[in-house]
Amino acid sequence: MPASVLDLEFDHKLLFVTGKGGTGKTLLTSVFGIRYAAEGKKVLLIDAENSGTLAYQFEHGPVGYSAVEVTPDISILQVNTDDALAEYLQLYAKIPTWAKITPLARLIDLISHAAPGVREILVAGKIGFEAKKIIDGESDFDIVIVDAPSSGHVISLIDAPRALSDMAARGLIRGQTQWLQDILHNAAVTGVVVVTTNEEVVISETRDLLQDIETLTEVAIAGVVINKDVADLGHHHVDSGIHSSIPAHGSLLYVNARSYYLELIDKTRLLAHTFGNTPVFTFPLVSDITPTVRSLTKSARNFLRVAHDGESDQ
Amino acid sequence: MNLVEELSGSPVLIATGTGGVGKTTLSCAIAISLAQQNNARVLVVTIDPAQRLATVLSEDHLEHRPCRIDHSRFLHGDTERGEVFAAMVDAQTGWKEIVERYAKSDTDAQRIFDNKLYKNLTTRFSHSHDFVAMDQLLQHYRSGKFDFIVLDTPPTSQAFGFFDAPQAMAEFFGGRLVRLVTSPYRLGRGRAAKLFDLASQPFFALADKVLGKQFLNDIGEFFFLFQTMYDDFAARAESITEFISSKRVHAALITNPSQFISDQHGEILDGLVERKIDVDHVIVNNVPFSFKHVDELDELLPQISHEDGEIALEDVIAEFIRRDRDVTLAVHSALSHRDVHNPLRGTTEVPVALVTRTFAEGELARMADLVDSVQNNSDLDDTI
Repeated sequence: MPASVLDLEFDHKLLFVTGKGGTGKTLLTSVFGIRYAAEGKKVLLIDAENSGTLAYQFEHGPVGYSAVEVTPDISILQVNTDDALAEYLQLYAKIPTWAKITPLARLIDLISHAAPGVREILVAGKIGFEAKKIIDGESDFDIVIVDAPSSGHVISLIDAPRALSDMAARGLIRGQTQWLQDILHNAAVTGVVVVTTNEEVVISETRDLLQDIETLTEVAIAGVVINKDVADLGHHHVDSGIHSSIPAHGSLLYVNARSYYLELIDKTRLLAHTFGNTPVFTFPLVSDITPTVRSLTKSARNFLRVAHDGESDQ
Repeated sequence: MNLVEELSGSPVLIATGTGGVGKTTLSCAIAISLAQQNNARVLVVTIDPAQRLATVLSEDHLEHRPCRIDHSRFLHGDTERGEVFAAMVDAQTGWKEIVERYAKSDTDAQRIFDNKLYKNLTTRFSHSHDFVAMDQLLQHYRSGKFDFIVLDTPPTSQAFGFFDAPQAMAEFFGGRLVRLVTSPYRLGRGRAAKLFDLASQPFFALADKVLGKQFLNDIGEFFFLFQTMYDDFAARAESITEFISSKRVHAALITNPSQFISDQHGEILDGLVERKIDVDHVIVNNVPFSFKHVDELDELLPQISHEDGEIALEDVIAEFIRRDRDVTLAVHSALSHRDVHNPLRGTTEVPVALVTRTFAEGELARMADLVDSVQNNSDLDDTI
């Protein structure tokens, strides 16, 4: 059986949480945050999708480019290219914030569609900078967890410094890529967590993503999380009796549904073995119909609390 | 009228919706159903690089060009009617076709292919994938080879973003900024003028400082080359937009139970209506149970016994059934309360079809069940 996310012992300073859209990246980012905060760490969550849902999960209004503590020990900030560019120019080009950077921001926006890494380097730079502060002992935080873009787009983000240094760029942006690569390519510091579910199409996309991260980037994979795990639903261990006979009251509907759910459970067990040497963790199916991610996080909190209480009872 | 009859109303159907709702699978089931119902030649087109279309059709691989699919495998023994073709659009091949079609000369085309930025445009820019999908759609439609075309849109977080692609691409190559970036080229008649001549301009001074000269040069060359074919390109974008909003094209919004229950699909519908896209169906995919089975489940659930050695497992299964029963009920309740949720939206005008989940094992059997479910879909709103 794969370990629960409760058992994860990542010692990283920077985690990127990614996966196919709809697998629960944002939820798992929050769960990781709650997990580390429960350990007494100060956590910075970064919404790199600029979507606002991360703060919403903590029942908090929109946050901006500066970190806001949304709940004790957990702060969130949201990165966007314009603010990142302004901060960047201010730090490295000594260009005051009041200078007109809008045309340049628009140029970067325009060419970022064709040139790899120009937009992403600004976002990656902000994220890496927060991690660098932790390493240098200059941060209020102990770990940075990024709600990263979904599969496909995440490569451009974590590979931005390298992609950009492959281009002929010689400007300031190029000069800033080395320290960032040092952070991103250090497996002890930075890791990518890929969230998956046990649906077939999601699994095959997850495999592709893992392979792409491995072959296209030099960033290490920290682990895979199987979200909406059903093998351990409601803390019932179903190791035994998986091939038990069908109960006598089986109508056709029940028989079909039962074998469907059994297949789901079985598939999840097998799933853990399909990701090679990558550590696999599970997170239970918390609710299928609750419409807001916010209540999902609440369930996640309950899940963690229940599990911790359970541990202390033993 | 059943769902397939209604979908047979126009020759082109665009399956839209966010990622992860089962668009690709449902697009195939619809294509097969259209072929069966109308004894027609149907093409299903996708641009998802993840090869999912091949997986759901149980094919080893698919190609950029339409390939005939043996759809008799998905018919539960019914006699096959019509022909089904599938094409998996390759963004790079699609762009190559576009450049070769519009470049002024072979030398120009080659210079574009050689430009460092070109490959990135064709592989990374999401609007560029959308644009290629639309370009291919128009191409296939005009070929006259197919009676129906079903387009499975690329996975995005915003379903309606797809329809902005022609406009976005035209703006991308024709904006004021592009003229600014390419001005050294225009001054040098195709060869870069010396950038430092322009360094006196504040914009170039800043851009040079941040991005570097060589990089600016590559960017300038790239846009300059594309500008030589801008007029043809813009005309194509224009005719694509016209085609997409014409009566020949309609769209089905594919959604899932949780989006439908929380009314997220309404927001997507608004976006589509704004873009003058004719959405004539909302299809809620993967509804766990048929509504008529809920009573049976209610009788069943208390009976699931706790026999020795099986307690945990049967409990888990009962919990699954209870959840999925609740999802089914919530979908039906959302269906009957649509007008209450959103009196101002067009949602109530659009018929909703529910597609029930299949319990079959294996891709082949699941697709067959899905085709069956699409073909015999009577689970429309009137079941309430």
